[in-house]
Amino acid sequence: MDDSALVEQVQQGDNSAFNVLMERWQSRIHRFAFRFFADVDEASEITQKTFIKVYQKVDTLDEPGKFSSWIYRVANNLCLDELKRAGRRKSSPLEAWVEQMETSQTPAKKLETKELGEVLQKALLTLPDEQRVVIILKEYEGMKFREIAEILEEPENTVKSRMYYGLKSLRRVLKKWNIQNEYLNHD
Amino acid sequence: MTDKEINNLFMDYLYDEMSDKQKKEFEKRLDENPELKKELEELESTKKLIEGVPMETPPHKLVMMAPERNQSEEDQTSTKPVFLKRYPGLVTVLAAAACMLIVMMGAAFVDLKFGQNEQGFYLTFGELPAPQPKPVEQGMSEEEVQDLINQIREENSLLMASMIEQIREQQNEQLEEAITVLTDYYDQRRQQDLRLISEGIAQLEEDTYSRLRRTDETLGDLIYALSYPQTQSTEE
Repeated sequence: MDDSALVEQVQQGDNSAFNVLMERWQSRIHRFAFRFFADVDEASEITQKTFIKVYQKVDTLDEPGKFSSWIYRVANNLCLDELKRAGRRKSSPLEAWVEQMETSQTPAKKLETKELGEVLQKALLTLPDEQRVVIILKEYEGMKFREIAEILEEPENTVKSRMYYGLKSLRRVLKKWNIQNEYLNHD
Repeated sequence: MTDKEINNLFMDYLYDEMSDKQKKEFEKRLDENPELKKELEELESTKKLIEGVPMETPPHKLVMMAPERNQSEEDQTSTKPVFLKRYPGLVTVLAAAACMLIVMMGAAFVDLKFGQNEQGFYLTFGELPAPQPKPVEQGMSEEEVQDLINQIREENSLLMASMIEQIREQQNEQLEEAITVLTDYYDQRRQQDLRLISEGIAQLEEDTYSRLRRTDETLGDLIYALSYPQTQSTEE
C-alpha cells in the first residue's frame, strides 16, 4: 500500500495506518533531522515532533499524493523553528572547531573514513540553513530538484542555485580544513 | 547566458537532470571553455566527497506511538473472560479475596498467633508467650529501716575510726623511718668531718715538726759557723 492510500485511511480515522506510515517514514525523517543538526537526540526530538504534527494536521492535507513533500516540509519547518528557538546556536559555524582543525593541520590522508564523515557533518553545519537543507535533500534523500522545490515551496532555479552555492561553500570549508589534497583530487 | 543560468546548468548536468540534447550542448560548451570545465570538475569532486563518505546512521525504532482503538476493536481483541467484562466489580472482589488467601496461607506457614491475655494483646510466631511471674512483694517497716540505717552508720564509724588509726600508725612509722635515715645521714657526715679534721691536724703537726727540725738544723749550722770562724780561715 502506498503512502497516499495510507494517508487517506488515516484521514478516515484508521490509526493503524498512521502507525504504518510512521514505521515507513521515521528513519528518513530522523536521518534528515540528524543531517540538519548532527545530533542524535535533537534528531529524535524533531522526529517525534514531526509525527505529532503530522498526526494533528493530516486532515488538512488536500493531496495525499504529496505526503512525501509535505512531511519533509513539516520536518524542515520544525528544524528551522528549533534553530530560531535556540538562537541559531545549533547552526553556528562552530568557529572554535574550525580553528582547532586549522591549527591541528591534520593531513587528509590520515583521516579515516569515519572521521571524514564527522568532518563532513561539521562542514554541513557551517552552511546557511537554506543551502544545507537543499544539500541534505539532494544528496542524502536523493530527491529531484523539482521535489525539493515543492518541499521548500521555492522556485526550482532557486533550489539549484542554493545547491550550487552550497557545494562551493562546502568545498571552500573543506579546503580550509586541509581536506582537499586527497579527497578533493581535482584541485 | 547569465552566470546564474550556467550555475543551474552545472547542477542539472551534475545530477543528471537534463535531457540528452541539453547535455550534449552543455558538454560542447564545456569543451570550448576550460574555465567552465575546471569549475565543473571542482563541483564533481566535492559531490563525490559528499556521496562517498558514509555518515553516521541514526538508530531505528525512534517513535513509539500506540494507536487508539475504538470499543469494537477492544471487544474483539480483549482476552478478558466474558463474565469479568459483565461484572467489572468482581475483579476487585476476587483480587481482595486472593490477597486475603495469600495472607492467611502466609500466617499459617509461619505459625502466626494473635490473641489477648491478662497482659494485653499479643502477636507471635510459634509458641504463645509464657506468663510472666508476678513480682515478689517485699517490704520493711520504718523501725527496721531506722535500725538498718543506724547499724550502717555504726559500721561506717567503726570502719572510719579503724582506717584513721591505721593511717596514723602508718604515718608514724614513716616519720620514724625518715628521722632514722636523717640521723644516720648526719652521723655519717659528722664522722666524715671528724676524720677530715683529724687528718688536717696530723698534717699540720707533721708540717710544724718538719719546719722546727729545719730551723734547728739551720740554727746549729749558724752557731757552728759563728763559733769557729778562725779555724776555717787558717785552714785556707
